[in-house]
Amino acid sequence: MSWQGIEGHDQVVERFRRILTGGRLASTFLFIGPGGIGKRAFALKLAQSLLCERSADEALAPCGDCPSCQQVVAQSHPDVELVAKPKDKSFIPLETFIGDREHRMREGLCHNMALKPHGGRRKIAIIDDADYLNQEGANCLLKTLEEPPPNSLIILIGTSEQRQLPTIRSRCQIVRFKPLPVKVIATLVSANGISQTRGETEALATLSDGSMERAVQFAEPELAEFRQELMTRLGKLFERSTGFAADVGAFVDAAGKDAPIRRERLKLVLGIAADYYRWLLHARTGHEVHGDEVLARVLQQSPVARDADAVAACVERCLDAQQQVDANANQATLIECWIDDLANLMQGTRA
Amino acid sequence: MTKEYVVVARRYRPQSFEDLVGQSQVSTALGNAIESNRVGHAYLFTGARGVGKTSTARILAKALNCQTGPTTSPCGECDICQSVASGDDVDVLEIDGASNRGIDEIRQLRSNVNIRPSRARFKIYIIDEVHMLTTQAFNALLKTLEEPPAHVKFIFCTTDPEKIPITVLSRCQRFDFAPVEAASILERLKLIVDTEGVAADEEALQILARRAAGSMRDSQSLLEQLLSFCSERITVDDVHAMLGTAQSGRLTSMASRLMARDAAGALSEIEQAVSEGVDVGQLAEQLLGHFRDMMAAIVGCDSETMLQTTASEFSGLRDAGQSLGIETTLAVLQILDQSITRMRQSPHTRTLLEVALVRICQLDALDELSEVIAQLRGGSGNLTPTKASPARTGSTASSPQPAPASPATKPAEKKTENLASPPAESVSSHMSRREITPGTVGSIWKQAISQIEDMTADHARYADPTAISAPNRLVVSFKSSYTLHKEFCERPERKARIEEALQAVTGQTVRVDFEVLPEEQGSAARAKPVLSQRERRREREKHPMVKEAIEIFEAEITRLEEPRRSESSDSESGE
Repeated sequence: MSWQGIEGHDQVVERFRRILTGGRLASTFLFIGPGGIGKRAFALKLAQSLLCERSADEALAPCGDCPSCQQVVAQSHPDVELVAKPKDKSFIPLETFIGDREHRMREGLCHNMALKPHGGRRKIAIIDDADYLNQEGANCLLKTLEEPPPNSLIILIGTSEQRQLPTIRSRCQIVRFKPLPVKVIATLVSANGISQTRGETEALATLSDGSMERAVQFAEPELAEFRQELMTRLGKLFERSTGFAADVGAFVDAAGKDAPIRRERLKLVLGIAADYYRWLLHARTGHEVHGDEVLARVLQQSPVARDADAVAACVERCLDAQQQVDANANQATLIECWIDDLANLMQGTRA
Repeated sequence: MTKEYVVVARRYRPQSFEDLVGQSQVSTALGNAIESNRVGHAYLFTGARGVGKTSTARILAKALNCQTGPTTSPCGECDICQSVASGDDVDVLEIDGASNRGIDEIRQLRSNVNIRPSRARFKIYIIDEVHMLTTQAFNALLKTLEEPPAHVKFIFCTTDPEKIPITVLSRCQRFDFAPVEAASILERLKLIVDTEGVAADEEALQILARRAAGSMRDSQSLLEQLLSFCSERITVDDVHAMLGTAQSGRLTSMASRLMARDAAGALSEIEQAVSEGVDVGQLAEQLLGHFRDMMAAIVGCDSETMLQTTASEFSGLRDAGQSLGIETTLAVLQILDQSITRMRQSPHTRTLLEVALVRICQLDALDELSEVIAQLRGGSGNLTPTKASPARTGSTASSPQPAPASPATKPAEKKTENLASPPAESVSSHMSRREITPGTVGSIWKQAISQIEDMTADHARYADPTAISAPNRLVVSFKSSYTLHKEFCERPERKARIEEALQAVTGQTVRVDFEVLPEEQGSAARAKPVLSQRERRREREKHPMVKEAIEIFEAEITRLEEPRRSESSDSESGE
């Protein structure tokens, strides 16, 4: 069942319906869930239904025709503030919330929220990428989150509770979004023309881990090919290999000239590697492995590592490397160090 | 326009000192200060989130400015009290320190400080989240803070007092707000539930109170979610479903899997938990709490100090903890804590928890290890581990298995050697032993070198073992022209290899020291005379007169000549 074109989150819809029926709509929410499962779409839809001029709040059924609905859809509604991390920044800038130095507290989200709603009903702020709030940004939201102006609703969207400050967590109502079921992904993938054949659809659905974002990424044939190659080579990685590092670097460079695009690509590559080691760890402990054929084949071929600690360290190394990408580490050095460390770690595991 | 709903945490904000839960020491101190007319001009309230800092600041503001005079029980009805409570009083300025953190904002504040209050007794500045002020802003405030006009009071609130400069701290009266006890939170929650007209299971509220970990606002935010979700009755299942936490049974079974070192089992527990809707991050935090309680139980705390475990589960937890051992529990806590720290940075929450669990399953039984070490130190002959060790791969050197072999060696020797390296000793005791004496040292050295396969042997060949400085301690000397080879052999990995080879030959742990022989003796003398010469020289150096001569002239001994008639007259020469 879907709600207004949003698939797989019926439980959350039900929750909001109850909240609105009971008239207990709190003013601050934190939406939590993996990327690419529709949290932002949900937040926008919720905003639309709360601002719709023709239907009541608790119906949660925006008409889609009234000016209000259309403005929300076009993301030009004066009462909806949508904030996200700029592509070229590694966090949401402070100016977004409290205005720049000349217009401190006379601009920005916190100021806008304090104004009376234009349409007279309520003001809604959606803060996407709340994972990327830095100390200053998060702190300057605290007072607004604690006692928001009357008739306002603030929605933060992030991937996990642990990534938020305890002071933010304590002020929010937490709403958890589950990964999309494989079936839903399969339907969406084929409906949107991302995959052509049925086999392709199924492969993407298993690979996606319930995230549309991942499904779309892996739909690129070159990435799927690289993934297979990367995992095969990781399986044989026991010695330092400059060639390997160069190949990874070349693949990342192929993404484009802009640094943000390359960084995204590198994070994706590191994610694939982390996944590989994660499943290697599962195989090592004798736990069942869920994955597509490619992964199963590679795992079968890679020698069973003797030392689970080393494999665990490899997983952590990959995740660390992902953070280092965010910290603007030099790409070539990062890749080389990463591969070197992996090789050193895996060296000890060879029988 | 829809009727506005205000969340529980705001509606039930305490409005007087009596309402304030769990901060009796603060309310008493402030009350006494007001009654004896000794109210300070700057207060700093610190404490974790949601323990009542901002609320106390507002109550204090009301108490000072209420129309019924400075009083410990503000009326709450006068215009001033009401406008303070809603946060928009003209004379009580509540400032968000995080958004107004720069020096410009503070300068503006300073310029307004001298203006008298418009209608009340005092002008009160409440700066919340004050830790976010910049250093310059703090410094700009210092003079005002030290000697403000009589009509001004400052109240700072923060969760992070470490970030506040010491110069500001010394000008404020500081009040540390303690975390609120679970029992007090529970009582408050019951009151709220009753007032809201919703029925609730006692246990459900207990879980909420414990989950809040000392923060009243956390507990009320959680309750808010439940109130909006459950229309008639709040049950335990609702709580877990809403919080994304695991039932305590799930935690216990997970912990027992970990204690049995069953990694595959633990991983499937995660899988099941996730399919039931448990949030992995919450699960990690719960596991941390579980093992924290276990730690407390092992060291002898009673069930009152448990943060997460109910009284009925306490004895089971303590038994489980005692079989796991304190050292291992501490290691488990460390692994979980590291993993949760990483979760703050990385979105791969589940992978991180899985890695942590596998790591835990790889832990050796650390308590057995420390027992074995204690026994070795005590020199007792009985070295059998007291408990059967759980199934392990046994790949690490720290496993206690080889230890029982060592009692064969003589007790007197064993004491010193075992302290140095127990595993090595126990391995070697299987082999034949050869004593190192001045007579055998040469052949032992040659035999050892012949066993080394790589380049180390080539370098070591240039050396001679010349002395035994202590039992099983060999001094190996190089001629001065071979300094390079000596340096090479001194590298830790080379040295270890040589020591290994020596151990294989002698059957004992042997330490090696390297030194370079002085030039003129190297070519002339062989092992024996060199030894005696060097010893003589050391003896001479100890002579008080020679010592003094060396000190005065900053000299060094270059040559040593045997005196014929008089003693030590010409044995040294200065530079």
